[in-house]
Amino acid sequence: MIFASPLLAWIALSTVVVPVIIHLLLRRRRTPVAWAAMELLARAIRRSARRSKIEQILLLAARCLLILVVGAAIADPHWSNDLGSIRRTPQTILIVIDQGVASQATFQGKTLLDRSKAWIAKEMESIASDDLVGVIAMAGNQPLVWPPSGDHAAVLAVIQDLTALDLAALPRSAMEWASRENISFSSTIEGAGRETVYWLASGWTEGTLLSQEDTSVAEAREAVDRAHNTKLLGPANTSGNDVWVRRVSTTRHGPLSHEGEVDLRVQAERRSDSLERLSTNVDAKAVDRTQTKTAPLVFESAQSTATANITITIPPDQEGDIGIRVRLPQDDQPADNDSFAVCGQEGVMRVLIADRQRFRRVTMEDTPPAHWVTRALDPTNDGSMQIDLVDPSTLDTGIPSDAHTICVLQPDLVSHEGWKSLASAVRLGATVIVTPAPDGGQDEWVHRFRAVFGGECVSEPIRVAEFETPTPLNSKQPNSPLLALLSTELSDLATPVEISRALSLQGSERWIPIVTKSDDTPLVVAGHPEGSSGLVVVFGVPFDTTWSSLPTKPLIVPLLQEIIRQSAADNLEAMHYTLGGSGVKQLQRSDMHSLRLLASRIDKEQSNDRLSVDRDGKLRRPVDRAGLYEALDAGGVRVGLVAINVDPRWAINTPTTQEQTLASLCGLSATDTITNLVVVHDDGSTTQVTDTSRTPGQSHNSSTTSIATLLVMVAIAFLLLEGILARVASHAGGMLLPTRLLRWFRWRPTP
Amino acid sequence: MRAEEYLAPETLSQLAPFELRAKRIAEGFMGGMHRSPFQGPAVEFASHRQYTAGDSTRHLDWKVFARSDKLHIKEYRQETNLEIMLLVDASGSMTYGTLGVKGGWGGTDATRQRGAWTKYDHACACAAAISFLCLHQRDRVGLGIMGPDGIVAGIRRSSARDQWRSIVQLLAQQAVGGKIDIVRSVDQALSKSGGRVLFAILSDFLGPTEQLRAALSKLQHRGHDAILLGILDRQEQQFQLDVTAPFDGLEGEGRIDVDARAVRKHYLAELTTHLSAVRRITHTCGFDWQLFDSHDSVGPLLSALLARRENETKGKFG
Repeated sequence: MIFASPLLAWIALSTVVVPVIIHLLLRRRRTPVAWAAMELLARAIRRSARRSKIEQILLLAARCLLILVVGAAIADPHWSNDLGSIRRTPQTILIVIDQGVASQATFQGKTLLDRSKAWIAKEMESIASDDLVGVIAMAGNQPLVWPPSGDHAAVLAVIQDLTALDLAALPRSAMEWASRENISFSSTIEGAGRETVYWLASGWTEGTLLSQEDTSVAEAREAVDRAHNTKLLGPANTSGNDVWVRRVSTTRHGPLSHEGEVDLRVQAERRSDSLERLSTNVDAKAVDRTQTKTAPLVFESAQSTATANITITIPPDQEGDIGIRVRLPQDDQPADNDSFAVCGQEGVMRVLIADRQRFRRVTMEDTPPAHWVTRALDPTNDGSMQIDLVDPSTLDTGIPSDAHTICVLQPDLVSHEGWKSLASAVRLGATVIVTPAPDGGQDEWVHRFRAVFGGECVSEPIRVAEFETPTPLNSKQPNSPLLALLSTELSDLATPVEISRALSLQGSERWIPIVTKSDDTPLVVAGHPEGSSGLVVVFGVPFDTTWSSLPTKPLIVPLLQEIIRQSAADNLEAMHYTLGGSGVKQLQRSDMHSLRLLASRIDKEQSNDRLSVDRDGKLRRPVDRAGLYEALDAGGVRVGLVAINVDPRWAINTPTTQEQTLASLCGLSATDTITNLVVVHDDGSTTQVTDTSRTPGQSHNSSTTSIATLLVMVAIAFLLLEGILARVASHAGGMLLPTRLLRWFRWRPTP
Repeated sequence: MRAEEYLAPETLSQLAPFELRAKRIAEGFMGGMHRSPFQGPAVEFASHRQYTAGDSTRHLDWKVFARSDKLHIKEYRQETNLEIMLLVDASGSMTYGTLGVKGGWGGTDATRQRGAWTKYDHACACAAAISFLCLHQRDRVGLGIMGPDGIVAGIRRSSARDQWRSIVQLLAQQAVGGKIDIVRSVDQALSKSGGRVLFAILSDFLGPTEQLRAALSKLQHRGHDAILLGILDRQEQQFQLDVTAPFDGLEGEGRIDVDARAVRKHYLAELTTHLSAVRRITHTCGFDWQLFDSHDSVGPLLSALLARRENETKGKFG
């Protein structure tokens, strides 16, 4: 047995003399007491003498042992349990393996995950056949093998098939999960009576900001001492294609629907110094789906970029953003051959229709514009769009932030404040569709419109053109990006529409006609106001059958749908890189000016977290968020990617060294259930830690088991024994407070 | 000291309703309130009996002779005074006491030794109360102080006016210590008492019960009455000590190391056994037993004892 604190052990041993001294002090002679009934007293002493002496000795022994055990428990003794020696009890081995983003970093030609696998395979050869093995993955806290299994071959197969994820590894939460579940497992028949051993397979040391492919391991290790909490994701060698995915975008206009196929456009780059023709493939699949689509990727000679189009199937039950993994299978770079795109998926779009309710007879002429718009946007009434009808006057108070499109069908009823609110919404990315006032004058609202959006789209002077005979739409409509999907059928759809009167509009550099009349004057113009990411679409006719037949013709449905969906798609930033990229690009530390968080967009967190880097490539403040960071130069141009593997819950304040990391891992469980812990380092070495309260740098070479808990229980037993003996002996000198309390509650002297 | 200090006014007021009556027929020289076995000139008619030759004709009941033509002698009960002998234990054990005394209290030799209200002081208070009561009803009271050699000091029985003061002064001045020989003391007291006497023995009765049995048997055999007033300190009865210390015997028994809390249970058991034996011996001899706590006042227990004796006397003699 060894003590973690030998000094405390010696102190505990020396304090054993305390009760002996107290005992002797109690026996010392005191002032004599005069007594009359000596004969009775002598007889009483003769009756109690032998028993009293035995009780006193037992009491003294109990107190000595109590102090000895308490002292020993404080000194934290460990029972030596060398792995090489014969074990007394079967074990439950819980392997917590790091398959997070940083486990893909390569040293000496092998990733950290591969090293962990190799170490586990080697160690599993020596475990006993009756040992049970459970496997918990750090990234995602997913139990791979649970409850622990006795089929070691199957467990090993699971581990060997394990692939790294583009997520941050959370060793603390994984260990907590394993510890918590192990308590439940220990209460079962299979898990009872077993000693629990934790194998923490992770390269959880400090990382490096180095990303040069020619960096030696020694240099990397040197950088480890200077940069904290980071892990290199650059490739370790330059062989292979040196191709990386530059961008993943969708060709599908508008937000992704719940189901269906998505056309992806994968833009890839390669090293600029290898400009021969290169033909390779790119794979794409939705995350958690096994279906993989492959498309050819061809780099022509002297071209550093190439594009591949892939169509993947969206899972029918997918909700929220869709993760798409794009992979370059023929690329040898383990760190950059995957790209992870997040395509924003909007299940329901919200459209506000600003139109005042009017009570009219239900005829075609009197049908309100809002009705035509509603029918066009949601013809089957399936709820694919959330359409809210509001009064134009309510726009004064602001526009809901989740409204993608606002249809202003009675602009003459919108106040100046309302126009300001619309302008604010457009600046934030919303789309505003404006039609002329069907009943009122046009001058006043046009002036207000011009004031906020710049109104050169409306001809000067402002007038409504009246056509004696209804004029049709142009048989050859312009090719606008907004209606690109309708380009082949727009003319056919436009032909039946006839215009009786219309507000005169004009196109310009900013205001692009998207639908024109037969006289080539625009009927619908769209433009981005200055400083705004949103879109403003102006119609020359309201949705009123007295102005045109547009509300009753099929064109209105795809026209409004495409305008709204495509504008929303343009406004939404739906593509986010999470991993992969320009790892092969030569990256000097001096090039890095800051790091910008990218990968946490997976978790829908803010991505504006920037970490400044000094000239030595050292972070100026600790990293408190795990994920993929984009290394930016002084001009904000990306010069590389760095994966930083930090569990923000325990590395938030200070940089961590290796010893601090181990100490933190060891202290993660307050239940003291983690008895044996094996940590695998990235260089293949291991550290076995047995004590959850040890200070850093005090690792044992052999596995030991703390028996402090057992001693505490023994101490409690001795404490109770001391109380019982003290009560039986009726001794006045109850030495410890619990004894006095015990006596207080249990001792009732005869009155 | 002033003799009145031994008899507090409240004690007298508590004893006033009672009269010390001899449980048995007492013999006395003076006419008193106690029944006498001798029939003589008195006013209380007792019974008739047939005349026999030799009887004095003075007591013939002529009215009966006139009605029945038979000679009957009228017999009367003669009332006499009570002879009381107080035997007070003056051994060393009686000097034990844990009740403090007020400043200016002279006390007895035991008080001066211990600086506390001792069992001897309590015995003196009891003796003073009993003697005062008896003298008040014209009974003859004597005192014997028991010591190692029997009665070491005493006062002959008398009903003189200064008898009570003499008794109290002797009690206060008597040196206390050593052991007593109760058998020898009783022998000496019996040798000086011709008639039947009520012995009031005041002691802690912590000595051997065999000696007590022998002494009381002699009293019983001689037809005397006795009251045993056991006096113990409260600490002796409860043993509320929380020390581990040597205990010194007050009668020269030597020193014993005692863990008071450890032996308390057994001590109380021994004390109970001992007192039960004393009570049993007393009742076997037909005497009265009353245990006094030296921390309590004399009056209530003494009055209770007298009330009990009075009830027993009424039950026996109507």
